Amino acid sequence: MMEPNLFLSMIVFGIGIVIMVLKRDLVIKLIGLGIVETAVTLSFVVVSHNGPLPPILTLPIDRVDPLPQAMIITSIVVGFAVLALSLVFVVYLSIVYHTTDSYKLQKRIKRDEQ
Amino acid sequence: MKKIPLFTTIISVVVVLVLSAFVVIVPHNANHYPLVTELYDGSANIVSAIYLDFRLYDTLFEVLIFSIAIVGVSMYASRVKESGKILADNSSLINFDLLFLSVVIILFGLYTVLTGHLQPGGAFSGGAITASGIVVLTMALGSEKIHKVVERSKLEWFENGVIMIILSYVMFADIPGGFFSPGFSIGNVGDFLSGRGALLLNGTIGFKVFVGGWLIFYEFSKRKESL
Repeated sequence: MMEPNLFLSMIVFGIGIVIMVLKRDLVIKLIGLGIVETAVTLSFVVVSHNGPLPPILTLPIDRVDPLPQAMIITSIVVGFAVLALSLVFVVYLSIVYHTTDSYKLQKRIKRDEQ
Repeated sequence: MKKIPLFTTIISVVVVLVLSAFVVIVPHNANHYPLVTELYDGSANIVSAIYLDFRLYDTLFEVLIFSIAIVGVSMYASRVKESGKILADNSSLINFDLLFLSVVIILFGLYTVLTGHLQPGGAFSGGAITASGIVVLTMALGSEKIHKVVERSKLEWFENGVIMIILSYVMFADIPGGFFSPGFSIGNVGDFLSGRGALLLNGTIGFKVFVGGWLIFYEFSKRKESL
């Protein structure tokens, strides 16, 4: 039987990938990266679903699997760090080359190299 | 030129969707970690027990990555000219409300950090909540006052000093034959002083995430006109 929630999270994943590949603006690409990260989080939540209750020891045994949730905390924090770092790079690039468009950036960097 | 990425993207997305349609998630036995937590750790929050005890190396390197990212943000932001500041609103009622809200958010963040081993929450989410409280506080008081605090207190030194605490915990608390920190007591499940080193680690990592979030906000808000 198909898992509809996982399928939906993969659709969100696809939306993020499409934004990252097709949009030329670097900030919008980063927003696409954020959407992809959210989709991955969502898919882990779906996979860990093993009962209705949160993973607290004092609750009855119908708990979700705690391991994917512990893994996804790492993913969220690393995603936040990567987002902050890449936003600083975008700000720096936009100040040096006066654009955040990736095609124009490529052209201007090539022109500077020659 | 533009059609090739479009074509490959659509193909790959369709492949991912088709593959995900065949995935079946069978209800599985997820009680290994709860059992081990009850026996060896004592935290009520099983996720906290996993990332602060059984998989502490994951958390250690995650904290290191976060710290490196903050160093990178500070380094590259220093090459951008400072411009713009956040001004406090003219209305004293809005300022008072924001101040009140920020105090509530910061206290809630501290509560989330300190009770991370007892209920949902923990160091990372609590630190992020506290840092967002600082953002609201900056809106209430204006950026000049808050930025002075960052500059005078040398927050980045504290932020890096906290890594030393976590590193020494990892180095000295790992006694052969057991999980991390056998020196700390397991306690009763649900007590405030339980979960071995959970309180210490939650406090230090929460402080680190709080300071890291604050530093990132500080660097960006000092250059907000450059964006």
